[in-house]
Amino acid sequence: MASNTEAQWASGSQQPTPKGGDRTLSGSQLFWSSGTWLFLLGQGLVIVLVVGLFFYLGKKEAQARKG
Amino acid sequence: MSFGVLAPFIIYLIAVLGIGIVSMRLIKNYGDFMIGGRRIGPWVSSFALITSYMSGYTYTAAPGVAYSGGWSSMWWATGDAPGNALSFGLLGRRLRKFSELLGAITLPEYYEKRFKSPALRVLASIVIIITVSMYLVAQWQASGKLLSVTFGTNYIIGATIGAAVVLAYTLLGGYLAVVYTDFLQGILMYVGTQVLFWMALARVGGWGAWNDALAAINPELVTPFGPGGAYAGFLLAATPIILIIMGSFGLPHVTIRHLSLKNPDTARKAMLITGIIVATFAFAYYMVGAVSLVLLGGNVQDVETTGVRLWFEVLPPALAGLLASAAVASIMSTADGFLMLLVSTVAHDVLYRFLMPKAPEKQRIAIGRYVAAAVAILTFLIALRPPALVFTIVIFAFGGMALAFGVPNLFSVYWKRSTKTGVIACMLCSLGVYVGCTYAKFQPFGLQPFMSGLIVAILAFVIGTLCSPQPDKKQEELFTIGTAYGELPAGAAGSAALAFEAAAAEDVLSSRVPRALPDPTLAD
Repeated sequence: MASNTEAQWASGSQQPTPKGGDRTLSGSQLFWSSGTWLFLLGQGLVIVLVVGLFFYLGKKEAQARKG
Repeated sequence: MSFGVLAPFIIYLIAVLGIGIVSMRLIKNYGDFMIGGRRIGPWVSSFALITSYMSGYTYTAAPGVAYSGGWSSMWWATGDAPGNALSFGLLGRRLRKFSELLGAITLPEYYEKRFKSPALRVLASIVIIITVSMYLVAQWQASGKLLSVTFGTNYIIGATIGAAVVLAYTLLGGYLAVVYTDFLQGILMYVGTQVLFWMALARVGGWGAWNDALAAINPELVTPFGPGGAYAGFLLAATPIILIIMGSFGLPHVTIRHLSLKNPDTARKAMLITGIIVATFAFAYYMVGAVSLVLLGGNVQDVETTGVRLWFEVLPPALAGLLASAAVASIMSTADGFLMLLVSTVAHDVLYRFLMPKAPEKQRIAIGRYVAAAVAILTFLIALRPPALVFTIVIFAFGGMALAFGVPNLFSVYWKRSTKTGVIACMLCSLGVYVGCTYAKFQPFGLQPFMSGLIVAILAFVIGTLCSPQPDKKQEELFTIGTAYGELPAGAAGSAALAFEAAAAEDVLSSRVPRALPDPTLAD
């Protein structure tokens, strides 16, 4: 299934042994057991980071205006 | 061809051309045409950045990568949200302040005035013109693919329609037309993609059934490493994320959005909006490809058309027409940003600065428009026989822009010691290594060409800077004011520009550097 695009991406590098492709597990089980869910967690963490930075920068701006 | 598909598409095209014509009436001076008079608010800025960044890649290459790689394509999507959001939060706020202090309305002008180097302006302009032209080829190519599948026309007609409409409204309305159409296009792209993804997922039978079906085709499609272990290994997985984040800091058609912000604090609000939207958007526009693999089967010849084919599999004709508009919107919103960048680079950075300093504004803008039209036509002709996949062209040009501008942009607003030698060394060395490694297929220590280029970019910047004399006191003062929180002090805006122009006038008098005297009409 490797596409031409991904083949290009990985070209020239040593192909490592495929991991996590266990055929005894269903797709749903594989999604959780192989750590694929971390992609979704990552997107959630980005939102948390951005909200935190928004308030941090806002606080700095407010302090600068007062000072 | 179904009228239900065609009608929303035609209404959309009329709307963007209308915005172009209305924006033309709002243009009162040069600053309005180039950067919208620095009065763009957070919502419009945010959508303008997102849509300019996303491009035709979103509806062609991104689903294509997920169609082939399943969940592993998320390595590409993961960098989008932090890159776009931090581009506003870390870079935008400071770049906005510096550009106002310096009176700079283009990126090459910012470099010249920040580092007192006309050579840097020339170099930045050349890099922009070359990389933008490559990117434009990919946009017309994506337009041809999308419209040919959508309307059953041939590829050439699809590419022609996309190029003609973008050229018309960009050259009519300038920057204002670009950002306001981007706002409309962004909403359309976001809603259209979400509707498509969730409807397609429902058709497959839901989340669990989708993953089960993917695993039945190939279990590796449901793992982060991808088929054949394409992303198994730290470097293989991390490189797409770093590439995408650095691109957000470097793409000149994206960073120009920072210069047009209403005020520095607008960047903070735009960061919040952008982060939330892109985090929920990037996942959907990639994974549409992985859903299409289940619904369309694995035999689609051109993987970059899988996203488009899914519309007709899942959506009623009117919605498919709306999504066709969204997809063409993604191409237009990037291509218009590029064309605007070309106009400003040619009119402001080349003609005004070096070749025709005394020419009236209208004449410079007119020539800039002709040059942009010529480049658009030339790149369109190349796209008729495309040299590679959209993915390959976009990622290559993207990497070049990220290296040439990403590292210098960040250092220029975060490192007081930064010098022109560092910037020039960074641009030349990193691009040399990147292009050389790509063509020679050379990957030292298993590093992708972009990563080799990035390491060289950082080293060259630091070494070049440390080997050159320290910035003078005025540059250090500029840095201190530009990096401080809060509004600019009264009277500070443009003060550094005046100092710069006074020094340049001295250069002219002593014939050391031929350049233009300051143009009073440029004051914002």
